Amino acid sequence: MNLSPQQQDALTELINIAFSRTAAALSEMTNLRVLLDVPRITLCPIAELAKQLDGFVVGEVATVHQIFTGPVSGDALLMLNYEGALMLSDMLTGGRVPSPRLDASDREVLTEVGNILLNACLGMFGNLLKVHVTFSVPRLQLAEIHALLNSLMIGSDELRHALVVYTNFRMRDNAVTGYLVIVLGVASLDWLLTALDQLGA
Amino acid sequence: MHILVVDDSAFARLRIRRLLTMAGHTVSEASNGHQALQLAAENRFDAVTLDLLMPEMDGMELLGRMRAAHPQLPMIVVSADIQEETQRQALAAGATAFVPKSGQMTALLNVLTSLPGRGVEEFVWTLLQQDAFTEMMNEAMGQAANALASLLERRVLLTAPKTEIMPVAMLHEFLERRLSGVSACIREHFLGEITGNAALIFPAGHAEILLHAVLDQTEVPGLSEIERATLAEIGNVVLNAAIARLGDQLHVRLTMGLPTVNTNQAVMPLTNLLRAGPTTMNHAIVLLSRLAVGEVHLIVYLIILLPETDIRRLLASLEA
Repeated sequence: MNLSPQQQDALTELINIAFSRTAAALSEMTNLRVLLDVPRITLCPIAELAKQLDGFVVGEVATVHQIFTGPVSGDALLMLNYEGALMLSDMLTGGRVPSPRLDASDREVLTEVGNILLNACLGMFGNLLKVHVTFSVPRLQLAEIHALLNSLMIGSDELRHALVVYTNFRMRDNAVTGYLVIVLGVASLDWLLTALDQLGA
Repeated sequence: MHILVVDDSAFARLRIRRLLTMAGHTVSEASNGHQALQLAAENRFDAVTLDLLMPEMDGMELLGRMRAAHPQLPMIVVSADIQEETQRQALAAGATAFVPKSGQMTALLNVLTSLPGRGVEEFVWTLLQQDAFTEMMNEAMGQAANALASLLERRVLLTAPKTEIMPVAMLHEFLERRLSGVSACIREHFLGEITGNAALIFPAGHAEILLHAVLDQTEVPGLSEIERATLAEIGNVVLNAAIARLGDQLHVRLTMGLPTVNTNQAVMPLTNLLRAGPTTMNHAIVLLSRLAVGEVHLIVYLIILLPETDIRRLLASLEA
């Protein structure tokens, strides 16, 4: 299953709006200009997700994970490699002595940033597609990629796909790359793509 | 003000605390619903901010329990969930306002200053401003009347002889004093350099009279598709004319959203609907208008919600 150019265009537009709102929130938090770059989006079967992220994911991944349920259900994830997670937390909290490990405060920061970004993206979908989804409380997980993917329970009995959004946080000449991943079963994905087609019709 | 901030995220609480203390407020914190209820029982707060997604007791449950125990306490939901339906549910559950965590959190300060009795400046028109605004809007209403006459193939007159500005927190009381109910409300969101909501409201019974006049039919109960579409089109014409004129006055280009029609509502859910969206829209301009279609004469309310800064710009431009 591939995204048509129109679907790709509609998704990019929606995510751009959500990213710009999140960037505004992060800028206000830090009093610095935060940029969230124009995303690149791909769609792949979940079995190929680890391969898709190959090279980015080495060792533990810091992931903010939220389950969403409703007419469209699935898992939403903000994935950062460990160094990226540390750097993002340092960038956002500024002035602290950088730590080699994610402490409780770093975890709080990353969880809240993930919560804002994931909700902004899925909320934007919900508003424009006229559906309402319910979110679980966000959780930060530190795990190897395979263990993480095995923990995604929603719709695990059906064929699932992942929308992968390349994400780049930029601030103070620093950049942190991550991935926003939305895992959907085929039924939810079909629903989303049909709604996107109608949006562009 | 003494404000209770409820959020399970220490980082989110810190973010809100900084904002509020810099604005001169005193802050207490609770990391969950149970703690919040206990603190609210033991202390006197002027307002509460609360997150929706929290473990154990979520924000909606807390909202209900807090509202039951403290009916007058302003409660502002501060959430990452930006879905319109979530905002609607929170407002319906008793939230005073909704501030999204994405975007500018300074909107929270605007909400606090717009709470009743919190010293929001009530704008007072000068005679010159009021005359200029009334003339401007009547020009727009005249254009809308021409467009409606062509659309409905009937003689149409539309005038807005009376205008008021008020903090949005007073809108409910204002409408409740004048309306026993609402037969139809056509809403549109507009955005661009300024963002706001606009709505055309028909008092109870008036939309049915209008539809009977223009479609020569009535369907009871509820509205048929064609009746709903007719109301949406009438609202769209009037609201577009008003907002386009407002944009011209402020020299900004505004884009209108699609019209949404709500029918047969009480005033409270209606004012909550009007307020849905960015909480910076803290002031309302209300135009009490007269609409004549053929032999039928009706009262309609045209309401425009704008941020305080844009109201100030508008008033300044009217004196230029």
